[in-house]
Amino acid sequence: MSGFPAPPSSAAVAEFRDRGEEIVSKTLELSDFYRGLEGEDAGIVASKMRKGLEMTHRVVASVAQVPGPALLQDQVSWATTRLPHEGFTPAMVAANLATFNDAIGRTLTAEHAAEIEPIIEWLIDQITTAPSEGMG
Amino acid sequence: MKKSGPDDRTFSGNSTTVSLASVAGEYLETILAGDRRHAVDLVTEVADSGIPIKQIYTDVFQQCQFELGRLWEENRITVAKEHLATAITQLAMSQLYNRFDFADRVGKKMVAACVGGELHEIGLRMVADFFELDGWNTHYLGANTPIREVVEMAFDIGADIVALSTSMTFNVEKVRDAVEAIRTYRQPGGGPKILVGGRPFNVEPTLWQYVGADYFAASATGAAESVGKLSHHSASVEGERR
Ligand code: B12
Repeated sequence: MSGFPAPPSSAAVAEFRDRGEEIVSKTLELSDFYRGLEGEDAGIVASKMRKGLEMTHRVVASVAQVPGPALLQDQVSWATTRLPHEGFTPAMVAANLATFNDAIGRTLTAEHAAEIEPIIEWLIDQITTAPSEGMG
Repeated sequence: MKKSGPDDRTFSGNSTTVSLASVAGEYLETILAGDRRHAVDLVTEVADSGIPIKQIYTDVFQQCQFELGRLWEENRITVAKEHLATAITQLAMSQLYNRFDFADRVGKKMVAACVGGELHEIGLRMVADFFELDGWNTHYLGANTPIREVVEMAFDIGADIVALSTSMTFNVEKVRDAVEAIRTYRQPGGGPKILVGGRPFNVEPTLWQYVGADYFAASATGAAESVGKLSHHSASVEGERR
């Protein structure tokens, strides 16, 4: 998928915005990312992931209805340049976003989820095709 | 950024083509080394030579802050170094205040704030200082201000402009909420106009319209120019963009 998705309706964005905490918690619950890790390490990764997911949620809630990809593209650039230095490769970020999308599908009404999911799919597509260093 | 040599430091406020690139290079090295005294000496010396404060803000402070961001993003400096350097720049900005060459007061007031959890306040402070230099009375509230407080102060003091800033895309929704709150309060034809700016507004040049603002400017220089007309006329210049 490469075309930038059409802006979702205000009702879909409102539900997405209001149910952010549930979506983030559900993503962490579904994620097998830090399960192999023990004790403190698992705690650190889980808390970094929560912070990242909360940020992603607020970014999407903030600009989902802005036509044009510039703002989300800027976030992709930042994620692929900075996050590897925080221990998250683009492949990990893409996997987390896929779980985030799964959580959106399980939390929002089907109609609203179908409007938000293409944005996350677009982000995944951009992150997996972006060069991993030297952008932005 | 270009590294300065001893001879690069000759500058004169009379020349309109003066380059502060070498000063910025030396200033960046100084703040990264944590030498507060030298950093302040360097910029006060430049100001005393007659270079306008606005130019020092833009060509030295802003350039170096952008460079810090790039270095941090690429993991070439630590978070601690970025904090150290930013704190020195805030100190240096304060030191220049008593050298401001203010225009006569124009009888206009501004409330300037970063709303929600927004912590990036230097850009907004530059905007507020530029207006102050132009003769405005600016109420600069800085980072992380609750929307309600901004709105109340704006209406209490009868502000002509509310300036809202965000650097983080995730705070755009807070700016939008703040604009809506101000619009809910204001009577048709009255109340403060809303000026917005900050990184996301530069990345997406139509964003100011999306959040419902009256004006946008990409920099402190542009902001002062764009709203400057208000100082002389009371006519609305709604929707204008620089
Ligand atoms: C210093 C800094 C910080 C400091 C801020 C301290 C302070 N007291 O202000 C601290 C450490 C708090 C910080 C935190 C974070 N930061 Co930071 N930070 C910076 C840095 C290096 C400099 C900011 C600055 O001073 N810029 C200089 C000013 C002059 O520029 P400016 O803000 O753009 O303002 C100009 C114009 O935009 C305009 N303008 C600005 N506001 C307004 C308002 C109006 C009304 C108008 C008209 C115009 C206008 O005029 C200004 C003057 O010309 C930037 C790098 C950068 N490129 O700016 C990163 C940067 C903004 N930060 C970034 C990030 C990611 C973060 C964090 C998420 C990091 C983290 N993991 O915690 C947090 C988020 C905090 C939060 N909730 O807000 C990223 C954002 C990336 C992105 N694409 O979204 C940047 C770009 C760094 C990078 N290259 O990766 N940060």
